Amino acid sequence: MAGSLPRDPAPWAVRRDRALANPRLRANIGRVARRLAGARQQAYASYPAGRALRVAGRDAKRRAVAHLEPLLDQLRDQLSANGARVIFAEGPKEVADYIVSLAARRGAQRVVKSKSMLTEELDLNRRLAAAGLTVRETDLGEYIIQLLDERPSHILAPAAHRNRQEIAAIFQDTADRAGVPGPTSDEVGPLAAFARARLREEFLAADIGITGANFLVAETGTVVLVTNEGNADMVASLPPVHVVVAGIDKVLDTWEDLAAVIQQPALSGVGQRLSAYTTLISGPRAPGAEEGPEELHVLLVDNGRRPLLGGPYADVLTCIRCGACYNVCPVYRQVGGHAYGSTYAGPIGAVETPLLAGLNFLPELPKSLCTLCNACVDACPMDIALPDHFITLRRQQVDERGEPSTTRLTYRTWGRLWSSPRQYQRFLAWARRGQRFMMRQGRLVRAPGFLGGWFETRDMPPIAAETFHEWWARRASSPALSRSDEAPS
Amino acid sequence: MAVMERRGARVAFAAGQTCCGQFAYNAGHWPEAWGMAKNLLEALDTLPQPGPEAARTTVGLSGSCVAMVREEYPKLLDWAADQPGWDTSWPVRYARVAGRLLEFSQWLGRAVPAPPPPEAASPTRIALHTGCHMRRVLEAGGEAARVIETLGLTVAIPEDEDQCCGFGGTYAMTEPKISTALADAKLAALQATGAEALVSCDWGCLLHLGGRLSRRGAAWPVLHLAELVDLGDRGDLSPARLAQVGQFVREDP
Repeated sequence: MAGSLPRDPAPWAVRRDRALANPRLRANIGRVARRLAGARQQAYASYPAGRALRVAGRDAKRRAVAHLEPLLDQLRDQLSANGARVIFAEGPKEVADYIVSLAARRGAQRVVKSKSMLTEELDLNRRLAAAGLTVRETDLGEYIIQLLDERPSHILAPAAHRNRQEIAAIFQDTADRAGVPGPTSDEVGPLAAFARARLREEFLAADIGITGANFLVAETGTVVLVTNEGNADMVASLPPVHVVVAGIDKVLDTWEDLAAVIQQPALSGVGQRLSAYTTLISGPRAPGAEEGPEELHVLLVDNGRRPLLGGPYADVLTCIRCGACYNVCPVYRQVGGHAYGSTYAGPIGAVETPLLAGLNFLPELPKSLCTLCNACVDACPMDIALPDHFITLRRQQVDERGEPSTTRLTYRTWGRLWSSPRQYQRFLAWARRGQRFMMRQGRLVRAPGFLGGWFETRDMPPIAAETFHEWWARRASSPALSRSDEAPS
Repeated sequence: MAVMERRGARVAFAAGQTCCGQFAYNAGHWPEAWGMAKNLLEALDTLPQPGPEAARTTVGLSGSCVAMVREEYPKLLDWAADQPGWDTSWPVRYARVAGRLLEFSQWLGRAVPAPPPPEAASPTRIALHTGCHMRRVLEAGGEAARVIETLGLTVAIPEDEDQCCGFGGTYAMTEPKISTALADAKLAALQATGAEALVSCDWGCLLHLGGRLSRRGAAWPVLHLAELVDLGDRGDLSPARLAQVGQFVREDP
């Protein structure tokens, strides 16, 4: 069944133009992406063992995706044996309903969360708030965008589109409303100190903590979280109830597999050998223990993933959400994450979003957000065949959705004219006659149909008076001309 | 041709060739791409094959086109095998054609032992743009810089050199705004090197960047590597000559 993802109601042209018209957003995004991409390259260059581990990690993820159902059963059995409640959830509604009824049973009101792309995908905050719960994001970037009522613009750095000055302003605004002192300056230290002080109160007051999962180990029933801020540890240990919301694609077979892949999110994402905090959770508070939540609930969410199993796009499910493809993508660097219109951006987002939610969902993604430069597949630690997927999604769209009849006709005609030497000569003859009406100062400056897009901002040289083909033919028939130095340049 | 013949090659041209079809393939219009691919394979397969096996090389003048034939055609063939009108001889012909295909700078680097670079390098700087498919699909990005250096010129590599110029085949037509933003970023980085001219091994990138310069009214010479080497062979690498040969609208000979 197709999944359900949030969607910006603004059409693509509006989202794109909004981004392109915002030089500060482009500068912020470009700076963050360039810095992270550089950090990744340096990290691998200084850590040769990381390359072999990357391949081992990729293979572990691929094996898990290839045997997903039995691993999920094993994971459920192990987690249940450890005292957790495990629920297989179809999509956003099932997840939200479960948490809302859990909150009702516990009389819970306040929810704290650590960073989770899946809960963004499920639009969980909005659904919980609609049911009367108070939800607070505790990852620094997520906290910032929650205050701004925005969605993440980068998979690892949700507030990448905002700079220090903008963040200081929203913190000051928040402080004023709460009647507390704001950050003492817009330097990183004071900004972090302000957020830390505010969030500490939230952790202590929370009734439910919600986290995602970076990995799930079937062998032992273990939830693995990696963060650089330690907030997930607070979310998972201070409130009396811990809810894990994880995609079914997060499961791994063994601890050996986990060891192979555990460094990858940080290595490929931010260029660190390991994230600052790695948290392993295998169950709720044990009888007699003094720490940990009383209840642990693990929701394993499909939301459009199962239909990809066993198909040509299955490798998309091996994504570890490191963001390496975002950071190198030239289009992402220009427009940032919001322009993509849903939860996931960058190359993986443009490919995965229509795969999860259906080809008719944001159909511009495979077509309009990729130049096929192949930077993403080079950067991806899991070797996801992103450029191939872009092309085959485009083909599927052409086949299944159809295109405007003029576009189709253009490709048909173009294809026919260039598919045989004789037709090509006809094309040259026509084009020479036609181009006279499309020139200015010796350059081509317009063209019909979608070809005209080129000429909005760029020229083309006209067809040469004598093409190489024609020169070659003339030379072959005239021995006097067979000196190559006279080749047309 | 002149460059190749000066290096002792006997050059033949498959006059039936038109286009490798990448623009249609990338846009998802595979029947059209397959039509063009068949034509190209047919044309290249009929080339005369003189001399020993090792000497039979087909040279392509754009890294992206060569990458298309070498790395993407197998996927297109797989698809075509399930289409009506499939002929089992295609994979055989494909193997014959692809096996001897090289990109121009690869050929220059391999076929010709590099002469020692001149003792005093010329101060003339050439900004080199390596196309994305050249760099990442063919993994042949390094050869052009070596070739330019053997001409005695200084190679300038722009900042963010691995970023796309925004061409992307019909992407430049369907998404002109993003494509142009990328071209402008690329041109800013290239021109910041202070180079006399822009050189690349990809006609697509050159058409895109040159077309953008032309529309902006900027006269910065834009040359294919073959044109630069030709000038080098003639000992005529003066800035004035670069500017003349690198005009956007080429003068007829």
